[in-house]
Amino acid sequence: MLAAVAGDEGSYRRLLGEIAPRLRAMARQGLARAGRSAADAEDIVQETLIALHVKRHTWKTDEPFGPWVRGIARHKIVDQLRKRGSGHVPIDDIIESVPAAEENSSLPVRDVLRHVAGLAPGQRAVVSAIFVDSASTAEAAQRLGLSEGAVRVQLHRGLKALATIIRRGDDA
Amino acid sequence: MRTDDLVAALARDARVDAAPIGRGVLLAALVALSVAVLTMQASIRIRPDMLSALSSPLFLAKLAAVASLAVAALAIAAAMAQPGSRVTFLLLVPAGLFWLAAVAFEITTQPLAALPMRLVGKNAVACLTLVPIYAFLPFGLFVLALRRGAPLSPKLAGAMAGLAAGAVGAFAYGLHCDDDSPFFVALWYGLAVAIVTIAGARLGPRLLRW
Repeated sequence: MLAAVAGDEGSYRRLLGEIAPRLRAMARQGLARAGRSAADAEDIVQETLIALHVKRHTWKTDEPFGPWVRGIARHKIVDQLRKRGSGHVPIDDIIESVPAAEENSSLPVRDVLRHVAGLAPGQRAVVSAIFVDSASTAEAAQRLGLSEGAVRVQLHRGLKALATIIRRGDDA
Repeated sequence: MRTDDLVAALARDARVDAAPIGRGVLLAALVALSVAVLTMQASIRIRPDMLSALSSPLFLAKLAAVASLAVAALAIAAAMAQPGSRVTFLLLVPAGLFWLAAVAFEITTQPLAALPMRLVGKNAVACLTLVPIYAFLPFGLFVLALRRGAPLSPKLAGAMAGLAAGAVGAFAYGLHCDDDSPFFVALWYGLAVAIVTIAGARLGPRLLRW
């Protein structure tokens, strides 16, 4: 995480990649307990990842990383479950021991893509290019006629805006 | 969109450029204090005997107690906005001790008959209305600073922001108010700060959601 804070894209990507399966397990368990479809799990995972990303500056580098992630993940997942009408979900006991879960690609999934439409045009263009088309920063810059720096700024703002849209939340 | 793609995209936004929460809170505190004191000065003005008050132990104790309350509440709020940080409510003890000592001192040394008059004092109503007013903008500033963080308990964080804002408002008011009796301060400043704290707790869940 220290490397990620310093801007090391590779380390950060690996880190998020490791966190995702645990989030998935937490989300699935929470949904199962509330008797709701597991199709929402990936949505919750993605929204939690975005929250972790947007609030990563709240981790103090001299503090242990585990409690930070658990704190944010727990808060966000409970929030998401509540928004989907699950009422109070006791989630504390499942976090430590649950095995990591892999993405189930056969289920139709709702994901954060539906929020992207709510972004400002400039941010939407960049976020779509990078998320949907898996463009690199350079490719997106070329396609949209922007400098790489401008692409990075729009991505940054777009992710923050996405977090806000998710927070205000649809409850569909 | 697959989660892997999301992870890849997030990683591309890797560099952290946001300032640490503590710095934002400190800045908010300095601005809040300035705003509160300036508002007080523009409305009811600093007490005319300020120079002599500065050598009065009761006056200084009053300001110290209120200041320690503000500092403690802000430190707690900032810790709450950074998940995993240890939150020590013990920081509130000094101010709490002052409160207890003031009440105990009053009860043991003053004749009971004088209590009603000392209870009301001269400035009770002014205190109860002005402290929350002076606390208003500080509360807004503290909320703005905390919104950048990730408070796991928005209600409690809101209460701490309210407590700090109330204390800042009380500090400003204290520079005008010429009643330094510990009991008066403990009762009326205490009540005013409590009002703002409760308001903060009520507003917290809505304002500090993320």
